Amino acid sequence: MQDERGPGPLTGIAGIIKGVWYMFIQGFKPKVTKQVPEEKLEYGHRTTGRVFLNMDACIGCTLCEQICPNGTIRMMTWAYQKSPEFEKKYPNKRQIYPSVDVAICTHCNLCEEICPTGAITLEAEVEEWHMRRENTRYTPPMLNKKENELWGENR
Amino acid sequence: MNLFFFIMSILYGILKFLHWPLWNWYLYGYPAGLWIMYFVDAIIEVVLVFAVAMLVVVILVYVFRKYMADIQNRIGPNRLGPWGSLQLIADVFKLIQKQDIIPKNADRIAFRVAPYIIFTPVILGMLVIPFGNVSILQLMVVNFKYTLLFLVAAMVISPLGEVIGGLSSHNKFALYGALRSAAQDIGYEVPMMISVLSLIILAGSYSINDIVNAQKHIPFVIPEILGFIVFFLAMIAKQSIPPFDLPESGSELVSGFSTEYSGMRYGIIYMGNFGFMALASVVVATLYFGGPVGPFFNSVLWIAVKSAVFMIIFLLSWIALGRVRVDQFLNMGWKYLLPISILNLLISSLIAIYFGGAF
Amino acid sequence: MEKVVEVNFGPQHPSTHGVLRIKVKLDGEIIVDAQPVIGYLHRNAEKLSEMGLYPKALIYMDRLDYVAALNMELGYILSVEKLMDVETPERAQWIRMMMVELNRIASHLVWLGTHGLDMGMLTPFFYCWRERERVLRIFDEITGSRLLYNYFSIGGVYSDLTPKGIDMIKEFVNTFPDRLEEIQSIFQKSYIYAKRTKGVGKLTLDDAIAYGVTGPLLRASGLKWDLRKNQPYLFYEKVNFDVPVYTNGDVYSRFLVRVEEMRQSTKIVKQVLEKLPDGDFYNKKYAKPMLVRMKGSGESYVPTESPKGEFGVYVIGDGSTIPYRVRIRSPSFANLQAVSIMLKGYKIADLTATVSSVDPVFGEVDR
Repeated sequence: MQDERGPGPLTGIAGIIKGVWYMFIQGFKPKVTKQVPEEKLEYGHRTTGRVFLNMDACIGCTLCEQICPNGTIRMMTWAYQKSPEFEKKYPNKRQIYPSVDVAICTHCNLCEEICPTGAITLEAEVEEWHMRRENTRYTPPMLNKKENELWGENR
Repeated sequence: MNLFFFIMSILYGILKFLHWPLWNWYLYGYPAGLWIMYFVDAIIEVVLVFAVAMLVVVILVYVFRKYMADIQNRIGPNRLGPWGSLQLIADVFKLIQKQDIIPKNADRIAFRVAPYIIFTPVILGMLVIPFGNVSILQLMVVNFKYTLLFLVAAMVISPLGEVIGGLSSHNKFALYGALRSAAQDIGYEVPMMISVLSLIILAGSYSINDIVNAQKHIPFVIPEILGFIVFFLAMIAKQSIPPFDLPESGSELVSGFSTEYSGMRYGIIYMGNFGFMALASVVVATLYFGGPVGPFFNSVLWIAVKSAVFMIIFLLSWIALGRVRVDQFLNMGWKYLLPISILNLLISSLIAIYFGGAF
Repeated sequence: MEKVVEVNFGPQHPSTHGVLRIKVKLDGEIIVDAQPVIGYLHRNAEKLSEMGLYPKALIYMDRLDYVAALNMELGYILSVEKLMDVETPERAQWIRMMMVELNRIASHLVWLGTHGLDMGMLTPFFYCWRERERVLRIFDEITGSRLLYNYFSIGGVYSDLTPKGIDMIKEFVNTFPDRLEEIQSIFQKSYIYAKRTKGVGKLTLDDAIAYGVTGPLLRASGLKWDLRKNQPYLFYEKVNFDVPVYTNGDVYSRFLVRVEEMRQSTKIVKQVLEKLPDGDFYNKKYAKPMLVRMKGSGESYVPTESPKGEFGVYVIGDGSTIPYRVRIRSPSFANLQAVSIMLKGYKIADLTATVSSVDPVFGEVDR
């Protein structure tokens, strides 16, 4: 345990000079900041970003709508033709798919955890800013595409 | 700004007149238009010193921002201009186009005048310092017998501006900042003047030119090491730099006396701070380390190098140290600095008596 | 003419740690009376937790104390697991312990940086943030987010540790104590800091117990009370670490307590890395569709030791899938009550020093 009394005058002033010297030495070390947007930070492989939906694997069980904490996911009817082997494996008779309001989503991972087939996932798409005010509730086919494909490079 | 230039020119004109003994005026045959020429000459020198001071301030702000970023392991401004050098000009443009807000119940005239009172000592101080000789031109604006007293008197004006600015804004935080500025001013003025007094005893005259010339053999820091410590701490306190930045304590009172100042008025206070840092480092380099006088030759290069070293020391002190409390600061000023400076005075008097002819 | 001036250190201020308002009565520079006013960040976490299922309330618990989010989740999860009698596998408990201690280091680094800013020092702030960045990268690698994780779940943790994550933790644990020593010496040996903080904001032991103050403030006033040793909850009895106790009760002692706690946390993380067993990381019965069907009845409260003090969530269930009452016992709320007696008779400059040593986080105070 350290001494609780603290430094006296002489050791204290020596401590001040030593602290200033330590910071002076730090001035010669390499910098640790990155210049965004020229250099991008690399994301880990588990970084959670926007919600992505694989419409071929969704069975329309509405579990994601029940577990979502703030009512971001709502099911909507969407006519979608799956290829026959997907239709056999993951049938979706009521033709309902989740739609997500990406402005309200808190990226909490509960829908990814509860989905029985792994159709809804969170990918590392963290740059969700737009320059214009668009509709933020994404329809199911829109959930399959990245932001760059939907709105272009400069949005 | 017009008001400022006008007052400055008048002050300069008056100083120039002190050059010349008064009886020249009344000589018959003295060309009558020539004293207007001196006035015009004074105005030109005002503008020149102002421009040089602004250039030094711009360079100092850039060095400060880049150096602080360096110590904190990050990159400073680097978008505008090569290596971010035009950042200050962009900041000045931004500040100029802001709305001029004066609080409704504030004292309007005092509120407007206060930043200029803080800024004036920078220019007045730069007048009297000898910057050396460049071929036959003497780079010293004014030289008369009492320049050291004029320098000290000019440096005393700036806390008055802080008090006026803080009191005239109708704001409790500014009031506390102004009170702290007055307390800090009282704490270190007397030791500073006593340490300057011991310099005068050693050199034998009140003129800075003579003090600089008296350091030909040995810089004054060696016989007066105690006086140097006192003067150095007093200079840190006068510039309101951490560890003694009580008037403008950044995190306790919102911004001290300058809480209600926004836009270009704040810009003038900011430039005054940095100008004072340049002035203080030049003053310390001149009075204690010899200024332009060097071992082999006298030139402007020596004073530039010495004041650059002191600027880096002041910047390090700003970046790295915390803040002291008001009563601890007054404690230090009256109980420790004052006896040390009086001791220093005794020592330098003894040296002046015994080694009278050396200086 | 009155001599006492009332000044409002308002909700917007460069140095109160969030939205705190203190009504201060000043006589010159001496504080005569100080009353804190809170409520500017009320986001209704308790009522929102009572409107949904048990797993849904985790995101509200995350956002209470946002610098130490995993401790908040741990308090809620332990209470709910005791309510429903859920068995968690061993590996999940060890992983939870390691994550919670890493989060304690991150929270104390935030405190150290902002404490330096309140004292007027500009640079230790950046050094502390540099160290904290390494901890946040570890969390990004393992859990997916940097600040608000939602990593714990009822019955275990959400995903396992990766080999790259384990390497990063090993490298962090080996190099952090040296850096901490250097940053500590900037504060501890400096005469300016010592004169500014010794004897300031004294809290005697009787006052601390009377106001219900817990955490580093209690340990700096003289009582050796740490919930990890006195009422151990995860596997804390199987690792050995010390609990720092000092007796003065001023700001300097609290600084020493928190720095020493950071060192002990690194010691715990090192020991957990060696002792980590293999196995499942979550209880398979409480996954996927069971999340919407969990029922619980009864009441439970498990107190845990968060970086700020004692944190616990009192949960009452009435046999359905929605909890009947969720009550959050937040440590900063109780610690902030003691501010008004800690400040009587001191000066304005001591106000920022004292409030920043209490370390309030306003997501927790206002819930």
